[in-house]
Amino acid sequence: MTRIVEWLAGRLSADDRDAVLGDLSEAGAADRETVRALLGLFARRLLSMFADWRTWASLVGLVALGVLLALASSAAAAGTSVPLWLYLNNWTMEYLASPGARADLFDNGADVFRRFLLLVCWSWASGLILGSLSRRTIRINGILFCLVVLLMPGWQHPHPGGSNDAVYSRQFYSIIFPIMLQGGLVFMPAIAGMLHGLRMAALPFHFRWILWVSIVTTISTLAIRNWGFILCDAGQRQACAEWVLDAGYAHIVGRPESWQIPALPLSLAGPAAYIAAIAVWQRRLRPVDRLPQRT
Amino acid sequence: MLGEFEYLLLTAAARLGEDAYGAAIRQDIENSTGSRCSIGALYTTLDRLEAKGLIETWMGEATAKRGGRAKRMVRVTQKGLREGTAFYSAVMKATRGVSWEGSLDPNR
Repeated sequence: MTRIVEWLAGRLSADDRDAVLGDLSEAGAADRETVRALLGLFARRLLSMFADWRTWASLVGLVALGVLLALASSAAAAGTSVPLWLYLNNWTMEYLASPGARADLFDNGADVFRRFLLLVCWSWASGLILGSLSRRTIRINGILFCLVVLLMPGWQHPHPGGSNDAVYSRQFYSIIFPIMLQGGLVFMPAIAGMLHGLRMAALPFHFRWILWVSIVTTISTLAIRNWGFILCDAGQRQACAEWVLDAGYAHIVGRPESWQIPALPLSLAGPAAYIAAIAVWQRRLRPVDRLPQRT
Repeated sequence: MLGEFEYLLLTAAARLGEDAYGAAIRQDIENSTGSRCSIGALYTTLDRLEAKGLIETWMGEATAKRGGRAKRMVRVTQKGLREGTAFYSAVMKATRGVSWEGSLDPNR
């Protein structure tokens, strides 16, 4: 029974643990009574969390962001598989020797980097929003968010059996690489974002406002650039194909590109504003840290 | 407007003054109502009152009686005092002209 008490008490913060166990000890509560009291406290706290609109907002946001990031990461995996296969699996010095191939190498390398950077920015900003919305539910939110991203069927390449089948039929590029991208470029930045989100409450009000506007800009870019993949998952093949072409692939089939938002600068707004806000805030705090020591 | 249990907790904290902390408030509520006050109800209500700015809490000293664990001390804020006074006035106004004592028919 003592082990159960210890385990349950370990779910509380250090201050709560002291206060609650101390009160129970003062009241002479036996182990069984302590377990009942702790379970009652957890149940009531859980219920009170769901009475808070922020919990519901973070749940809805969590599912929406998880779905968009799952689609974005599978699209990024599909979009970068071909150049990676070309240069990693089929490397030859000819890629550097020929000026044309060299230019292609740099273009493709820049495109892969841009896609990965976008994914990191979107994931981090999503994590930051979830972390700052509901501090108490951050663990549950983190697990649910990862589950939504993992379980959401990703965007499938719309042309199976096409010219790039040599790449997409490989187990590495069809299964392992998308999972690696989710782990490294979605989960890790999102968890870092959640932890940074906890610090947002400590920032001054106007800093938080600027940061929120920048984060919303980043998230809007995620939504604008990836919502159409939902059509693909829903089996709307025609609408999906049209949207994919409009989303930046029109040049491949020789069609004029439609107007596009500058995804990278807008997506960088959130992380850049956070770094700037933290730097300015810490600089403001520094004179206090430098108070002369008493001798 | 405060809830009934929130009012009981605020009143207990105000009565205990400097000595207001979890276990003491719980004991005070149990003494005045004659009913059991659960730890869950106490701490979720303390959290809620603190979020509303009606009380302030901080960690106090640890005592041997508590197994060397610190107390969560409670102080009613000015806003809490105003809310408590408003609740009390509302109950007094609502009760004016009604005498509960002796009105209950023991045969019914």
